[in-house]
Amino acid sequence: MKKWIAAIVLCVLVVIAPLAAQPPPPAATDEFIPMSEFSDREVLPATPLVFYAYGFAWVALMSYLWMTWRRIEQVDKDLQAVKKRLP
Amino acid sequence: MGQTRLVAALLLFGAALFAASPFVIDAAPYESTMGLIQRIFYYHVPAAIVMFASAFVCGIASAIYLANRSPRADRVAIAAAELVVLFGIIVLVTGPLWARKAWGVWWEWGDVRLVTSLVLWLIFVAYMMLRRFAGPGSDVLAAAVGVFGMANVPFVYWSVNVWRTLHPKTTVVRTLAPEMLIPFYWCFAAFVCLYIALLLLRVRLEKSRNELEAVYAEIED
Repeated sequence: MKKWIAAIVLCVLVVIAPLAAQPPPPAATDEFIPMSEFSDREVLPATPLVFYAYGFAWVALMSYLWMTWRRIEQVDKDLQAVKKRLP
Repeated sequence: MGQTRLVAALLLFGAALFAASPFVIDAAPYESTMGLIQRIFYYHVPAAIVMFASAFVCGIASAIYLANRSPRADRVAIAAAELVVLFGIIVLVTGPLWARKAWGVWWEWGDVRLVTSLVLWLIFVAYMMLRRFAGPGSDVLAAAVGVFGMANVPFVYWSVNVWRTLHPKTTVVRTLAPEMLIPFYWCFAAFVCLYIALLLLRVRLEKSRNELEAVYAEIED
């Protein structure tokens, strides 16, 4: 008798365990939400972000190059002017 | 004259690689989970590698300056520190643009790689501020900060392997598919060429400044 009870409990556990391990079903949907009203994260387009990232890298590097060039020109100009004052 | 030609060649080559990079990246496949936004990786990671390399250049040059007060080492150190700030700002701007889409947030203070990268960048901002505002003796103090900044780089690099947060591990580049490795190395070459050219230009500026100071000192004497 005990063996039968143990076998039934084991069978129940074998059947129930996978069911218990499953994730809960999604909540029932009572309304349809347009994509445009969904959260920002879900609809956030990647293209502008990639464009901004590449654009920023370009602008930063080219601006630095231009500024460094300008600074070199200015210092060289000052150097020439000061050297003329030397006896 | 030779150096000017080298700088011009590196600038042209780097700019050409950089200009062609969007087309090379476009030929690479999309990453399976992140899609288009993962393409920021091709600028973000090379910029980060160059930032780390520049911190090492600054640190080594600073150590040489502390040892023998070589003016040349000082010029290299200040140029490299400024470039850590430049490439660091590229890393710190492109990273959050990627994170906003991939993680849903611009910034995550719990991510150790993000925070340590910011700290590294701030150390070199401090270096530049010391050189600009600290007055006489700032070169020695800044050199010590440069060495300290370099010592931080391994911590930033290894942080993703020790603290598992949002950033992928350092092994991510090694696991890239060959079609993804081509644009990565392309962009890496572009960043390295531009870095070397900018470093040489910046050293040249510092050399001219030193000459100007020497001439002023001569006039005052």
